[in-house]
Amino acid sequence: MSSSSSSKMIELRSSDGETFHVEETVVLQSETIKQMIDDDCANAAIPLPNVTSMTLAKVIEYIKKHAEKPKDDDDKKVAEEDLKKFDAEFVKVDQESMLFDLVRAANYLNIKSLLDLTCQAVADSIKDLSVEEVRKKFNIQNDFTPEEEAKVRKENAWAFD
Amino acid sequence: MEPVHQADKASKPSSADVISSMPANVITNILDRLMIKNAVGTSMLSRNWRFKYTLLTQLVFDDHGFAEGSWFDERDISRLLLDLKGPITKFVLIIPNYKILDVKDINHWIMFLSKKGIVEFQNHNKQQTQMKLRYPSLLCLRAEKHLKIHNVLFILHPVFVCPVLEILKISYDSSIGELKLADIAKLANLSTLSLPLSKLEDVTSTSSITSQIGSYFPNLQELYLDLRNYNFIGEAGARKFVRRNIFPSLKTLTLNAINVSNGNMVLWAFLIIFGCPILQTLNITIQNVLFSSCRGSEVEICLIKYLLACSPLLKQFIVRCDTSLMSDDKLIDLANEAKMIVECGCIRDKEWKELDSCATMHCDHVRRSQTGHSLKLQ
Repeated sequence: MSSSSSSKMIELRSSDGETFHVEETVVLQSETIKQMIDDDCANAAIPLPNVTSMTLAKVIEYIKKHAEKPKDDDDKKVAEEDLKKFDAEFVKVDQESMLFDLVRAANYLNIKSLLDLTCQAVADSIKDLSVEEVRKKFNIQNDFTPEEEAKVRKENAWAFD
Repeated sequence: MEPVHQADKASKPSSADVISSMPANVITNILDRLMIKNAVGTSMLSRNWRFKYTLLTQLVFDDHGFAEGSWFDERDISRLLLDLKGPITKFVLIIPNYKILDVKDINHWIMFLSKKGIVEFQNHNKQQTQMKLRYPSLLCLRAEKHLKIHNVLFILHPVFVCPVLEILKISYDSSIGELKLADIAKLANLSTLSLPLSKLEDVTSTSSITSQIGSYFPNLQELYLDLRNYNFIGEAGARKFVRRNIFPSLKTLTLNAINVSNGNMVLWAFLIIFGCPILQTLNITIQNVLFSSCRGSEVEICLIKYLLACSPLLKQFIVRCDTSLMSDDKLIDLANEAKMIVECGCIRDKEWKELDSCATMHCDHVRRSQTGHSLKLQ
C-alpha cells in the first residue's frame, strides 16, 4: 500500500492489551517513546499502561495526520488549513472524559502539540461558565463550608464580579 | 466490595472528577489559557482548587471581560504576583484608558518580576496621557531578556543597563521621547533590535548611525529599522561609513517604509545589505516608487515586476518613460509588458485597467484600485 515502506514499524500495547503498529517516523512525535527508542528499549512491543486502546487509537490518528508532509508550497497552505480543520474536529469529542483521557495520554506520551490542543479545548469549554457551572461540568464536589466559601470570595473579589 | 465499587466507577467515567487530579503541569497549561479572572476564579470550585490558580505562569492583564471602570485594582495585581508559586514567564499589562496606574506600582512589579525569571514583559498603554515610568525601574531589569516598549514615557533618558537583555523592540507609536543611540549601546547582548529611526536624537548621518549600530551590537541577528517620518540624512561619502561585515551575525533585516525615489536611501540600503555576510531574510517595505526614464529594457521590466510583487504597502508606483521612447514602438512594447505583469499575477490585488490607447504618446494611465493605490504609466 504505502510507497515508502522503508520506515521501521513500532509496536505499542495499550492498557487493555491491544497492540498497534505505527511507523517509527510518526511515533517519534511522542517524546516519551522517542526516548525509549533512543535508549534501545523499543524492540519488543512498548507497553503503555496508562493509555486505553480507545484513547491510543485517537492519539495515533492525530500523530498520523500531523506527520503528513506537504509536497510543495501551494500544497503547504492547503495542508495547514486542512490540519486546522482536523484539529478543530479532533477535539470535538462526545464525552468530556474522552477529552481528559486525551489530555492525560498527551501528557504521558509527551506530545506537546496535542497537549496544547486538548488543554486549549478544556479552557475553551469553561471560559464562559460560572463557578457553579464548572463544578457541574467536571463533577467537582463543593466541599467548602459556607463561611469558607464567603472568605475565598472576599479574598479574590475582583475575579467574581 | 471495594473492587466492585471501582469497576462501577470506571464504567461511568462521566461521574468522576477527573480534572482535579490532573498533574500540575496540565493544570498550569489550562490555567494559562484562561483569562486571569477565570483562572483565579477556580479558587472557588473546591478546597482542592483553593490554591491551584497559584500555578499560573503567564499573566495577561487586559480589559476583556471587564465593565468600563472595573479594571484590576493595583493591590489585586500585587497580591496575585505574591501568591504565584513558580516562575512568571509572561507579564502583559494592557491598561485601559480610564485607568490611572501609579508609576510606583509598576516599578514594584517590574522589580518583582525581574526576580521571577520573566521572559516576556509587555506594557501596552491605551491612555492618551502617557504613563511615566521612571528610569530606575529599568535598572532592575537585570534578569530581563525580552522587553517591548509600546507607550511608555521616560522622564529621564533611559540608560538601559540590563546587560543580559537580548530583545529590544521599540514600536513606532511608543512615546518614548528622543533616544540617544549611546544609551542603548550598553546592551551588548542584543540579538534583536527594533528601532524607529525617527526616535533617535542623533543628528549625524544615517550611514554613521548604521555603522554605530553595527559596532555596538556584534551579536545582532535581527534588525528592524523603521524609516517612517524619518528625515534621512544622506551624504556623498556615505560609502566610507559602512564597511563590509558591519553586521557579522545578522540573519534577518527589515527596512520599513523606504523611499525608493531617494537615491541616497537606496544606496544606504544597498550598503547595509552588503554589510551582512550571512543575511538569510530581507524584508523591505516600500511606500513610494518613482521610476524615471524607463527604457523598457528587460532588466528594468524585471525590476518593476519584482518591486510590484514584493511591496504590499505600495501606495504609488510611477514609471516615466525615457524620451527616446517617445515615438517608438518600444512604448507599445512597454505597455504590453506592463499588461503582462498584471496578467501573470504579479499584482494580485491591485487593479490595473487595460492599456488600450498605448500608441498615443502622452498616455497617462492612472489605475486606481479599490484600496486607493495607484499606478501610473507616463
